[in-house]
This record gives sequence, C-alpha cells and structure tokens, in this order.
Amino acid sequence: MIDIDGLSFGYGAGPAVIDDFSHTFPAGSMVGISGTSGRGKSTLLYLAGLLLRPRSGRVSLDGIDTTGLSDPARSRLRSTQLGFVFQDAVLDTGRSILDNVIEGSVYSGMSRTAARERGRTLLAEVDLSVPIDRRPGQISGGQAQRVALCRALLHEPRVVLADEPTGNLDPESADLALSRLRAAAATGACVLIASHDRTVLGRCDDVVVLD
Amino acid sequence: MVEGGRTAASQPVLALAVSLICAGVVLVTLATTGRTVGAEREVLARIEDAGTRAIQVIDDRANPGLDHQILSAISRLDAVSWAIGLGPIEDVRPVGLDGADAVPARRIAGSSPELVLPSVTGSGVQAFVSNGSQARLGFTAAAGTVEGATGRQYPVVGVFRASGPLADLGDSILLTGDDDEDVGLRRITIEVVGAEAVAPVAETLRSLVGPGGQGGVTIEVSADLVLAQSVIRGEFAGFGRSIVLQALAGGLVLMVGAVLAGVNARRRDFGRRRALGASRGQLVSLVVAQALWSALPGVAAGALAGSTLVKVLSGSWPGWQFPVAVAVLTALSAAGAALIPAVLAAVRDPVAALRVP
Repeated sequence: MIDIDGLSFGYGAGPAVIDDFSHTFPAGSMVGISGTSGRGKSTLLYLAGLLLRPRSGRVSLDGIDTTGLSDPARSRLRSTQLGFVFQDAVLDTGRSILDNVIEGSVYSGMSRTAARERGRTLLAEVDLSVPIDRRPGQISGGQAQRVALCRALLHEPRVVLADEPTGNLDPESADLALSRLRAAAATGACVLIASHDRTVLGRCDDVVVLD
Repeated sequence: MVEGGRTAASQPVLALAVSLICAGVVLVTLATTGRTVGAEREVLARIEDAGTRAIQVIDDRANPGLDHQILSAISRLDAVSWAIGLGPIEDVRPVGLDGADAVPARRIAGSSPELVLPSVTGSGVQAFVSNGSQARLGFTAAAGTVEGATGRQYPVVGVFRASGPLADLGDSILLTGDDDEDVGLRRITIEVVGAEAVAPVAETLRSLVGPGGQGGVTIEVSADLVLAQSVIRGEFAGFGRSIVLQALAGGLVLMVGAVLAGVNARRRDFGRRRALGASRGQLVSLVVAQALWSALPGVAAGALAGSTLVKVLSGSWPGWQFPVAVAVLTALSAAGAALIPAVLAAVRDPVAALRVP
C-alpha cells in the first residue's frame, strides 16, 4: 500500500508540478493516473518510487514513512519493494535479455542463480519467442517492453510503477503487458499506471486524475 | 566489483580506450624510467668497484699497535666481507743481481677475494711477486731470492694478483710466513658488505683500535665516493619519480576524459540503475570498478611490452618489481581517475535521464 499525504513537488526552483496531493493506493489494486501532459503523472510515479524527494508532504510504503530516509535506505526499498516499467524499456544494450531481466538482483541481494531461474520463468510467461541470450538491439519494441516488465517483476515487488507502459506497443503486446500487471496486482501488489490511454485506464480498478 | 567487470565487458569501446591508455602509460614509464634504473645500477656498480665499500686503518706510529688480534676481530664483524693486514714496508733487492731496483715488500695477513696467492708448501717466510715487481727485480720467472735491508733473505715462490682496494699492492712483494703473528701491522684494508655499512663499521673500528685520535692511527673511508653514490642515487630517483609522475599525470587526464565521456553517454543507464535500486555509493563503486577492470589488461600488456622494450634497448630485463609497481600504480590511477566522473554520475538526477521528452 502507498499512502501519500500533502505531497508537493516542483523541479528546481520552478513552480509546483504537484501541489498538496493526497491519496491512498491500496495493495492488490491497479490504479490509473491520468491527466493532460505536464500535470505530473510521471512525476507522481517517481515520487512514489522514491527517485525524487518532495518539497513537502510524505510518501509511506506499507506504513513506512520514507520522508527522512537516507539515499541507501531509499535505494534499498526501491530494489526490494518497488518495480519500475518505463515507456521505452530502457534496457542495457550491451547485455543479453536474461541479464537485463536479472539486473536488479545486483542491488536487491537476490542470488544470481535464483534470479536467473526466476528470470527464465518470467520470460516464458510473457511468451517472448526469442532466445534469451539475444541482445536488446535484436528484438522488437514490444518484445523489449515485455523484457522490461519481467525485470520490474523479478523480485515480486510490493509496488509496481508503470509510466506509459503501452505507449509504444501494438495492441497485442499492450494487452499482454496489462494482463501481466493485473496478475501482479492479483498477488497483492499495488500497481500504479500513468497513462492517458483510455483503454489502459479502462482496465484499472480506479483512476486518479491530476488536473 | 563483479558487476564492474560485467559492465566493462558490456562496454568494450570504453574498456578498450581505458586499457590502451593504461598500456601506454606503463609502456612509456618503463621505456624511460626502466632504462634510467638500468643506468643507475650500472653507475652505482662502477662506484662500488671504485671502492666505496673499502675502509683503510693506517697506523703511522713508530711501534705499530695494530696486530693480528685486531685483524681477527675485524674479520669477524658481520658487516665486514673481508680484511687484510699489511706489515711495515721493507725494501728488498734480488740476491745475485747487481744494480736491480729496490722493491717494497710487506708482510700480509688475512685473505680476500681481491688478492690471489698461489698455494705453496714449505716453512719460513716466503715471497710472492707481482708481474710488475718481478720485472723491477729483473727476474725472468717467479723464482729466486730477495734480501731485505737487515740481510734476511726470502725465497720467491710465486706470483700474486691484487685488484679492487688492494690494487695499490701491484708493484710490491708480499711476504707470508709462520711467524706472521709476531709482526705488527701498519695497515688494515677492509671491505664491508655495502656502502651503507661504511659509517657504522668505521665507528666500530674506532672502538677496536683504541680511543679516537690515538696518535698516528687513522681510519679512512671513501667519503667522497659514498657521497657521490648517495647524490647519484638521489638524482636518478628524482628523475625516475619525475618521469613516472609526468606519465601518470598525462594518463590520468586522458583517463578522466575517457571515463567522463563514457559516463555522459550512459545517463539513461545510470538512471535505470538508480530506479532498480542502486544507491549513489553503489554507482560510484560500479564506475570505479569498471575502470579498474578495464585497466587490468592494459597494464598487464604494457608491463610485458615495456619490460621487453627495456630488454631490447638496454640488454637486461628490468626485474619484476619495477614493472609490477608501475602496473599497480597505473591501475590505481585509472580507478582514481574514474572517481570524479563516478561521483558526477551518482549525483545526477535519474529522473531527468529516464523521462521521455
């Protein structure tokens, strides 16, 4: 569960992108975050994902107030509790597909052997249909996004943060990605999806509109 | 550290650049400083040959106080390689050859690798000539008899060869015999194990031969040569340090540039790592470890190539310690050079790198 209370944020000395925002995102739910461009959808995800520090207010993860946590402590939470899916997969082009999926294990402390096993399982579930020793440059955008999804789910995070996860995907790949996110929510994870796509938002349990 | 190795392997261009720079630094350092070290060794060895390790104890008193007990005590000192005692000079002339020059003869005690005496049997005092003194005596072979001013005669039984600190005996005749211990010594020539032992051994000798300033006894060391050796060593060391520092500084600048370029090209990579849970400290460690891994093949190749170059240019291998030290120093410099770009990468806003415009 993510509990956000009185959150305000702006980039640098600029105006507030998010101003006094409060909301509770329950565990086991898939919540859409909507709003026109520049309203702070992605920013809210990054604040919830502890990549940004708010000007004021607080973000709590499963009851833990993250406001005063140090960088290593926030990083630790990201590596063990949070999973990110970006609009473009942001894969490491120098490594294989499987190595990309298990990259987070370096920071979460998961053993490499266990990570490889779980990575293979996840890749089989998304039906990648290409050898896992291929490099990201050798696969399509839809396949890359499935790889990124597997990477986000490797450590079974309590919170999954997806920023326009279907933005570059064909309908079939988009459907598969949303189904996989829904499956994560069904296991108790809190899934936040920033999107302006009505189809995506229509598959969410709840939609928060930023305006 | 392992992740640093994997990252280095996944970015072969950057790894190759760092590796080549490191190889160049090690190669240049060895090719210049390695030769300097060789030249230093050669010059210092020549100075050593010239007698920096030699000490002379000279007794000019009317009745010499140096004796075989003192010689024996000196020979037993750990820092002493050898010691030779010489008796008073006695002019001798050949028996039966009128008009021949008088040649200085002196009793000798102790042994030294710098003095080669043939092994002969027989009793009484025996004389050994050098090639020079044999010619002065007019002997056609190392055989005959010489006679001292007191009328005592000594049979000539062989030729000796003296070198190093004893080379000045080359025109003399040396006398050995079963009554050696009864003869006082005028001079003791000592060679110590190293130039650094000269001063402490000289101090010990002052205690052995009696209180300092004892009339007529002097202890001579090759102070000028020891000083020259020290100065030359310092000059070479300073020059070598300067070359190493210049090569490292040049390499450092290039490595900072290469790693910085690599870091700037990988903004999204670092943003992704932050999102996946890397702390700033882990990112710094990652970049430094990557630079270190990238440097390793370069320093190894540079050390090998540099050593081979030194061998080709100077004819001798530089030894393993110096190339290894330069290689380690260069690898550590690569890690150090990565520190500033690593910190820059770690403090950069990950969100700015991850957001799609």
